Amino acid sequence: MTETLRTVLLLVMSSVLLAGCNANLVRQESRVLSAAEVNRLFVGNTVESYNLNTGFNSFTYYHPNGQALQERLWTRRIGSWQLKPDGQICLEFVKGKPRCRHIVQQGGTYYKVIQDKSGEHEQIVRYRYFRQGDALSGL
Amino acid sequence: MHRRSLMAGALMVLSGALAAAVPVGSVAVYSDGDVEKLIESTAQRKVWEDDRKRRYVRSVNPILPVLERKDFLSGRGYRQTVVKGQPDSLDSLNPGRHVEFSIQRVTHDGHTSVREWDCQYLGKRQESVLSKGRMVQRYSCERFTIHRKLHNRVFRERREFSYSEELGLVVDLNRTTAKKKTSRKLVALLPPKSASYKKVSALVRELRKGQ
Repeated sequence: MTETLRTVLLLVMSSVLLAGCNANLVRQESRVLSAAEVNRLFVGNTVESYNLNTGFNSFTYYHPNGQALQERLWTRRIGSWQLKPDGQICLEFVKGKPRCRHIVQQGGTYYKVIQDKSGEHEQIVRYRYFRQGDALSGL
Repeated sequence: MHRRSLMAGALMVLSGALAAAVPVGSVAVYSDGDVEKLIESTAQRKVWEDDRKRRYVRSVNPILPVLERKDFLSGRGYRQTVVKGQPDSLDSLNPGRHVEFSIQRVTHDGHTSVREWDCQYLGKRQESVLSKGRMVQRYSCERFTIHRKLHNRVFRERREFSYSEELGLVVDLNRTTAKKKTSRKLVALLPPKSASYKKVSALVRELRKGQ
């Protein structure tokens, strides 16, 4: 009887653990956005982003003409952006040094990612909010 | 009568001088890595903005919680007004005195709630603020709710803080809730011209590294 109980308990515990792992897998699944999706999210919009490495927030307006207006800690800079056919968005604030990155969606949240040495995506920026139009110029 | 108006005039000049002590555009840096920029300053209120461009309207009465908060891109936030009690009656002449008041919060989507506060003025003392000995006012405020059935107080949070009248800022804050304790001190106050991205970010980076 005790042996049967132990087996049942073990079975229940294993299934709970497995279910937890599955839920975790589902939660962690991320999808790389296409160029059209990135275009919809960024172009003509002001985007609030949070740098996961530095902990700093910034606001960037992606003007449809290719200009990028950014504010970090109340200081503004003007650069440019470009969208690659594979969905990578390139930002250039220091001339000659564009940085191109993929955008992924995980759950309901969007991230900017880089590929680490093993080819895995490492999240570097979390996007907090997207708002239509230029919210920075009116200030 | 003449003497009284002179006194009032002197007080007004003094409060004007105090209000001007921190010019608009100054950036306050706190030990927890938070930063805020002074956007607007009047005799009654001050508007601060954090690094997420969330705006906070604060009364010059330090025991009052934020009067208004508005998020930059979403426009979400709330307004808070005193609906019961006299928080302004807590004067700096009577240490130990309590004042209870109720604040009504109305969120951007119209949701309304009431928050009860009980504040006590603890007195003045000298504290080291920004490497300088300054006189600060000490306060202790407790937020509570009233139990629906038992009608007793249920603790929500306690804020013990030092307020510098000279700077118009809370310079040291200890906050306790049922779940956690946090504290922060004012560690830098950069004048508008010095508050560059480079300087502010370097300061904040250094503070966050130490956490």
